[in-house]
Amino acid sequence: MNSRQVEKMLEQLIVAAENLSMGRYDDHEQLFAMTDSEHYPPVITRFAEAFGMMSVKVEAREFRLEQMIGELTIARDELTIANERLQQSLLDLRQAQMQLIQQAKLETVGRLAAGVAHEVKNPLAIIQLGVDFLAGELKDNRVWHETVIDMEDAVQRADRVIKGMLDFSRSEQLELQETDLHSVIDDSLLLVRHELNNKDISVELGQKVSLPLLMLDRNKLKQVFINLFMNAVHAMPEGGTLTIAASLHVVTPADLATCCSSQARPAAGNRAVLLKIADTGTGIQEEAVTRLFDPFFTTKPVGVGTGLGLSVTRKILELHQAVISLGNRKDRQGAEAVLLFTL
Amino acid sequence: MKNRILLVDDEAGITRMMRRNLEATGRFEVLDINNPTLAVDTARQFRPDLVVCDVMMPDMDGGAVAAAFAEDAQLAKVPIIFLTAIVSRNEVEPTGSMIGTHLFLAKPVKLDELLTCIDSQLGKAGAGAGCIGGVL
Repeated sequence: MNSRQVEKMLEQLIVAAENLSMGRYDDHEQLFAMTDSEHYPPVITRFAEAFGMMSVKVEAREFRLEQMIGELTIARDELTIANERLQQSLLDLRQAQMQLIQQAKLETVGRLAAGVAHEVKNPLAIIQLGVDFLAGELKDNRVWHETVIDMEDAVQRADRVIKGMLDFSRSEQLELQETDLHSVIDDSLLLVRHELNNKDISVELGQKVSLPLLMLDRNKLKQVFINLFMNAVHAMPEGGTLTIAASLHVVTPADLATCCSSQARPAAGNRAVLLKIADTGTGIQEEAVTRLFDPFFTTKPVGVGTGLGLSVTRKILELHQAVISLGNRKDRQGAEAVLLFTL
Repeated sequence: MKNRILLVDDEAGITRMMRRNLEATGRFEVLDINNPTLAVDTARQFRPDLVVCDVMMPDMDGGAVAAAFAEDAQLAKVPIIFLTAIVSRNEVEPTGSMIGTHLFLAKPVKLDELLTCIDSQLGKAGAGAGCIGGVL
C-alpha cells in the first residue's frame, strides 16, 4: 500500500467526519467497505470500522433524540390544552360560586321583602287614610292642599316599592299552562296602551310567525312584558318606536355569550322562541350594563323606578327556563331586550 | 238613617283614621275596636250593617272573625270587607277582589276605593245578595 492510497482513505474519513458534524450519515457503507479491503493497513481499517460504528450510533441517538423531542412536543401541547381546560374549569367554578352567592342574596332579599312589605303596609295605610282625611279638611287652603297632595304622592311611591318587593318575593309560584306567546304580548300591550299613547310611542309588531304553544304562567309573563314595555316608555320621553318581534330560532354560541350568567342557560343547537323587544330611546349606559338585574338598581329618576322590575323579570323568566339579555341596539340608538324560550 | 259600620283592626291608628274619614262623610255611624276577640260580642250590641276587618291579627285572624259571624244567626248576613297587607294594590280590582265570598282590599287603601266598596256591599246587602257565610 502506498502513501497515496493511505492519504485518499484519510481524506474519505475527513469528509465522513465533516458530513457527520453536519448531521449527514450517508458515508456508513463506504466506510464499512473500506474495512473489507486488504489494501489498507489493519490500523486504518479498524479506525474506519470504529468511525463507521460511531457514525451509526450517533445517527441512532439523534433519531431517538428527535423522537423524544416529538414526544415531548406532543406532551407539552397536551399539557397546554389541559391547562387551558383547567383555567376554564376554574372560571366556571368561580362563575358558579358567584351565581350561588347571587342566588342566596336574592333568596334573602325575597324573604326580607315579604316581611318588610307586610310591616310597612300598615303604617302606610295610616298615613294614606290620614292624608285622605286632611285632604278633605284642607281643600280650601291651596298651600295646605298642595302639601297634602305631595304627601299622597309620597305614599303612592312607597306603595309602589312595596309592590315590587312583594312581586319579587312571590315570583317563584307559577301556574303553568300551554300559552300562545303572541296573545300574552297583545294582552300586555293593551295594559300599557295608555302610557304608549301619552308618550307618542308607536308599536311595530314583527310578522306573526306561527309559534308552538309554550308552558307559561300567563300572568307572570304579562308582568315581564309590562316591565319591559314600561322601561321602553321611560327611555323614550319624547316619543319613539317600540318594536316587538318573535321568531323560531336555533340557539347559537353567540346567544350564549350574552346570556351565560343565567342559571337557565340553554345549550347551543337547542330550538327556542326568540323574542326581541327594542326601543329608540336613550340606550343603556356602559357602567349600568353589569348591574341592570341587581335588585334595587335603577337608572330612573327618584320616584319613577323601584329598581326591582328587571330583577323580578329575570327571576320569572328563569323559572320558565327562559333567559334574557339586555343591551344597546347595533342598528340604531336605543336598547334591546332579547328573550329566549327554550323548546 | 246612617249606616252602621264596625271596624276591626289591631292597629289603632288604622281604625282611628278610617273612623274619622267615614264619619266626615256624614253618612255613617262608626265603631272601631282593636281586639278581634271582642268582634262578635261588640257586633251583637252595635248591630252593624257592614264590617271592615283586618286579615292578619294576633289572637284571632280575619278568617276566624268571619267564621264566628257566619255561625251567629244575628250576624251571619252582615257583609264583611277585609283589609289586608299581604297583597299589593295592583293584585286587587279597583272595586275589590274576593277571598271566598268576601270582598277584600289591599292596604294602604284609599278613601275613595273604600267608599266605593262599602257602597257596593251595602247595596248588595240591601238587595238580599250579601257576602254571607264564606270563610277565608
